[in-house]
Amino acid sequence: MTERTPLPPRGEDEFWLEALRGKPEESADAPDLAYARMLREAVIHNVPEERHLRIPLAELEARIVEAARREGLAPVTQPVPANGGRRWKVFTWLGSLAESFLSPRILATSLVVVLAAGIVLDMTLEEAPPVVVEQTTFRGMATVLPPIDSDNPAELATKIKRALDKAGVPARIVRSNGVQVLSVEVAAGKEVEVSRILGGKEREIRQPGLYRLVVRSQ
Amino acid sequence: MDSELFIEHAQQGGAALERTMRELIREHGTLIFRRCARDLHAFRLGDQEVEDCTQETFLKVWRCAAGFRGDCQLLTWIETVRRSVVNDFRDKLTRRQEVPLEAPDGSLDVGAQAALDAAALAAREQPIRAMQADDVRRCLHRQLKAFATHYPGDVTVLQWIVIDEIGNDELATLLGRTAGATREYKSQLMKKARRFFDECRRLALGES
Repeated sequence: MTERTPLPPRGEDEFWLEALRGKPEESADAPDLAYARMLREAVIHNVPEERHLRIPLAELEARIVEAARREGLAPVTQPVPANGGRRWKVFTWLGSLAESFLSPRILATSLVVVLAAGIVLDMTLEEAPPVVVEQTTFRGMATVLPPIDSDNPAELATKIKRALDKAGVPARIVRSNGVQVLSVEVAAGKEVEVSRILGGKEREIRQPGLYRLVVRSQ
Repeated sequence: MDSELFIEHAQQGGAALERTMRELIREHGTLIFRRCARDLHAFRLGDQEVEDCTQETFLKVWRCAAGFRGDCQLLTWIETVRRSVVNDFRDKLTRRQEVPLEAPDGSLDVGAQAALDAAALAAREQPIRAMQADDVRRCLHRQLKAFATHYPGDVTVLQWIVIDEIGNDELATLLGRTAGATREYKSQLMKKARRFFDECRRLALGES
C-alpha cells in the first residue's frame, strides 16, 4: 500500500465528515452541531438488522477452500484433519505417493532403475534348451516319439527316411538347431512296419497319423 | 488466532496455510458475513451475493497472507481487506444500479426529483415544530432511505465514516484515490447528501 499524505482540514466538507465521525469541532455553532449529531444518529439507527448465514459455516468453509484450490492457493492433496480417520489417512497417503510419482525426477530415476534391472536379469538368465526337443506335441496334432541319440544324427535320419520311403511311408526331414526332425505320415496298415523301422517297442506306432521323431547328438 | 502463528503458516504456505485459513473461516466467517451484509444492505442483495463477498474476503486474505507483517491485529487487517472487497462490490453494483442525480445540463434526474418532491410533501404534511428532535429524526430517517435508494454505494461509505470511523488516509486507500481525488469524492458525497437532507437541516435550525 502506498503511503498517502494526510488530508488537511478543509472547510465545510471536512467539518461534516468530522461531525459524522462523532468528533465535531469545538468552534462549530450549536445548531449545526445538533444537526450533525442527528444525521450521525440517523445513519446509526438505519443500520440494518444483523443477517445470519443461511448455510452452515462448514459449507462456507468447503466452498472457500474449493475456490482456493481452483485458484491454486491450496494444495490439491488435503492436509490430515485433526479428527481424520484411519481410512482417510490411508487414502491421503496413497494420494501423496501417487502425486510424488508425478515428479519428473522420480519418473526418470524409476526408468533408469527398471532398465538396469532388465539388463542384469537378461545377462544372468541361462539360455533355454531348444523348444523342439522338449515339446510333446506339434501344431497339426503330430505325436512326438521318444528321441533317438546318435553320433551322426544327419546320417541316421537319412537312413530312416530311406527305409520309410522304401516301405511306402511318406517322410521328410527338417533340420533345426543341430537336430534332425523326421515327420512321418503313417497310413492305416503301416503301423507295425513303421514301428520296426523306428526302433521297436520304444517307438511303437499303434494307430495311423502324423508322427515326429527327433534324432539328436549323443 | 495468534498473529505470529498466522505469519508463520503464511510463510510456509500449502497445507499449513490451508489449515490456518480453515480455522480463520470457522472463527470469523459469521462476523465477516454480517459485516458484508451491513455494508451492502442498501443494494438489497440476496444471501448468495453476500456469501460471495464473504468468500472473496477470505480468498483475498489467502492471496495476501504472505504480505501480513503483524503491524496491527490480525482481525483489524482482515477487516481492512474486507472493506476493500466490499468497495469492489460497491463499485460494480453502483455501476449497475445507480442513476446520476443530475443530467449533463445540470437539471435533476427525474427519479431523484420525484424522491425529493415526495419527501418534501411528506414533511409539509406534518406540523412544523422547530428543533423538535423527533420530527428531525423522522425527517432524517425518511431522507436517508430515499438517499440509499439512489446512492446505495455512498451509504456504504457513510457507514464506514459514521460507524467504523475510518480515517481520511484509509478512506483514500480504500477508494484507490489520491488525497485530492478523495476530497473531491467527499465533496460530491456531501453535495448529494445536502440535496436530500437540507430540509431536515432547516427543520433542525428552525428555518422552515
